[in-house]
Amino acid sequence: MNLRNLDAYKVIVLVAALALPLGWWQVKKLDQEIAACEQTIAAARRPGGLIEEIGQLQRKVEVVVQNKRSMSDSIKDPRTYFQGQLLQSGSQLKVNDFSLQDARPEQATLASKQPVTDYVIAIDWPNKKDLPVPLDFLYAAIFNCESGASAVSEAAQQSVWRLRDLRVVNLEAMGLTGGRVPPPELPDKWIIEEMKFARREPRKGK
Amino acid sequence: MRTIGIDPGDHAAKVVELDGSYKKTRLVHVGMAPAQASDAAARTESRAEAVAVAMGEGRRGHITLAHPCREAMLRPLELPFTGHEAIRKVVKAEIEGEIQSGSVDDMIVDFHEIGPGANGGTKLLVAAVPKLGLKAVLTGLAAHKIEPESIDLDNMALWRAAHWAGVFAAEAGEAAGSVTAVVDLGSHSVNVILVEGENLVEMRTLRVGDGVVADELARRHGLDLQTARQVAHACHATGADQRIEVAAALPAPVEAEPGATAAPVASAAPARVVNVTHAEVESAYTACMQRIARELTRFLTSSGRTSRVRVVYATGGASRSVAATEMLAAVFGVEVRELDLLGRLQHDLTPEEVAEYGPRLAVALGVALGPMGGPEGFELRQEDLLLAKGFERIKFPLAIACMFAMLAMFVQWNARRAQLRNKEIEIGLEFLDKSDAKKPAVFYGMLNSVFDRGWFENPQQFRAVKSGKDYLYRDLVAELLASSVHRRLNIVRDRLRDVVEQKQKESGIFEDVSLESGLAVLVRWAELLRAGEAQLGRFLVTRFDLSMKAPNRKLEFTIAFRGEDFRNRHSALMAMIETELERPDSPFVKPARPDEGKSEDLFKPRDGNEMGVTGGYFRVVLHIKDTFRPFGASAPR
Repeated sequence: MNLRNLDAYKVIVLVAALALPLGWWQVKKLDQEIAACEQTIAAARRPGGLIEEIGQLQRKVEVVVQNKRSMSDSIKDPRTYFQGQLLQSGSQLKVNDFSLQDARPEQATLASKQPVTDYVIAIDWPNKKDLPVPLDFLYAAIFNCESGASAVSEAAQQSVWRLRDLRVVNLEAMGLTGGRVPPPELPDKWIIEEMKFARREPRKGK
Repeated sequence: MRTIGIDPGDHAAKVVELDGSYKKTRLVHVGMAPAQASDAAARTESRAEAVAVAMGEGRRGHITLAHPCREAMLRPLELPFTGHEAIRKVVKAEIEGEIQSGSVDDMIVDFHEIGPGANGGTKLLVAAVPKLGLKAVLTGLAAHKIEPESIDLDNMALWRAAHWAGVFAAEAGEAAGSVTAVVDLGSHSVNVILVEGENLVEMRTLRVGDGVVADELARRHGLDLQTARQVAHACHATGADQRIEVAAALPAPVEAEPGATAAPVASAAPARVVNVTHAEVESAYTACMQRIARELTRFLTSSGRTSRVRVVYATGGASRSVAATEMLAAVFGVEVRELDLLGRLQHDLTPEEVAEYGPRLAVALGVALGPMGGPEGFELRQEDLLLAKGFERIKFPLAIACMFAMLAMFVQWNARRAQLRNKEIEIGLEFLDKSDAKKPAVFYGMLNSVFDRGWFENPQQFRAVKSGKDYLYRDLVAELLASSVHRRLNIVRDRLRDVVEQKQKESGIFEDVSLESGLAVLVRWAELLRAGEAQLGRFLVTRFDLSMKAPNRKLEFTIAFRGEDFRNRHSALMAMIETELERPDSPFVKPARPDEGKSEDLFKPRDGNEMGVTGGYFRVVLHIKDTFRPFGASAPR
């Protein structure tokens, strides 16, 4: 095309020939972006959507952050952790009254098919017959170990340990075998025959 | 390049089709067809028909029509400035006063710069052609689907053809300022141009030609023009009288009287003999030549260039006659040469065809050469005669449609842009404080509520290691700013996932796989028993055994009831347990085997301590759910 022959009409048509496909492409692009935005808004607002998911993840982080120190200690050095928690449960309890075993891993699979490893730590009471405990102590000890409550730290702390096994028998009821008649009232003295706590980690390789 | 030149001619239309370039030109087609009509009214139609015949089928290329210069008004003009476009703007107004025979608005006006004027101006040769005649020619051609793209005057075509033939080249020993004359002897007009060097300086059309001889014979002997032309040619060529037999003229029609019988129709008109003498033809021819000579002399005298003419090139149908050559030699006083165009052109014509077409094609070749280059002529396809071909015809409505389409497109684009911006604001478009470049970006919408509490800014909470480097809030903001708005929430979620994953891995805290609380089970069991104290009365729990190990989670306990109603109380306990099991947030679940663990162990009737005490021990097993909500709301109070 000879440029000398260009007039206003030809210029308009020429500009339109360039601008219209470009404009169409832009409009289509905007349409796609609008659709993507609408999809994101819908995904964010639905129950269990992005916003809720972000909130849940934040809560998970908060749990980890808030308990990181105590749990790190409780995981790295469970003996010290349990000793501290048990000693806080009763003033008459002494360090030698109980012994703490190494954490023993037990592999399991959850109902959701998630493989996990439970680390079980047993608290033995060597002189248990000489050391009957009241139920209040028992509940306090379990509460302290599960909650991670500390008299030293004011911050609320969440423990990773949970009561796994507990077998308790009343001191006086120990002799009541073979249908012997129990007294009308039993003393609040209990022998801890078995006490175990456990924490859980997901197992890789699922 | 392919071009077609059309010369409608006086009594025969000539069409040539050329291929190649101005320097190397090839003749593809040549056609010549006589125009049949003699009267002026049918002449235009007849010429158009002749052009169509001469053109034949399958011609393609840029078509240029030669318009006879005799129908144009040529006026010299001098303007006090230069510049083609500047001259074009004023030339029509300037020539208006020079034309008295009609309105300049009814004419196509174009100009040719013939040289510099006095005081730095420009000398022009202005041509004004009535639109009416041109329109008639174009309409006639359009009826035969011939649409010339350009129209030029035949004199200009003659100049271009001569230029192409190289006749203006200076010869050795030639004085500066010498003039070359080119004369086209047509049947009804004589075109003469004077060229100084290669510049056209003067041109004229004389309204006289050898056609007047045939016109006179036709008038004198009652012959049609075609016959008269043939007879004149034969007399002139043979030098003998011509005796021909033609149809007698029909009598004038007489109006029949009412009731009279119709006259019988003659089967053929009666013939008559016409004797045309050589003497009368020569006499008419000599008179014609004398008249042309007179007109040429007048023109040369007025041009003031008579003495500077170095050579005359003759072309046209009559140029090969000895009388014409002698006449030209006598008028100009210089050598007369034939303008040989076919000799320079590549063609495959026979010698007979060359002899026939040679002197007649100058104008057709000249207009055909126009688009290829050479001297620029006039362009009479202007104003309302401008060719509106294909795109030209639709460009106005197309331009309007394009403008509307662009407007609609702009409106659509703008609306969608606004819609997108609203959506982006809803999700999390950034706001950058331009007054403070260091200020971190703030986000609108959902992202604003996510970032609002400053949670992410705390590195204890939001920090991950990515590619060995710390990934903090500022990195997240930078990534968000670099990404599309619709992806930003997903990015925040994904990065947060990374943080959670890393922190869980580091700390060993996996909320998702947390163990169920054994304490919660004991608390719920204690609440259950306390709530039933009124129904159960005094009871003794002698031992309990909790196991939270999957898959056999259970709480087993031994309970003793003293008294006659011990079985009723045991039943009440079991009813309470049943009720508990129905509660949705109870940690206990119904056993697969309902009677499991419900053993009864009666007191001994004779015991050392007490005598005749009734009652029994019951062992109860409560199965525990895999997952439950600890310390649930529906616990018995």
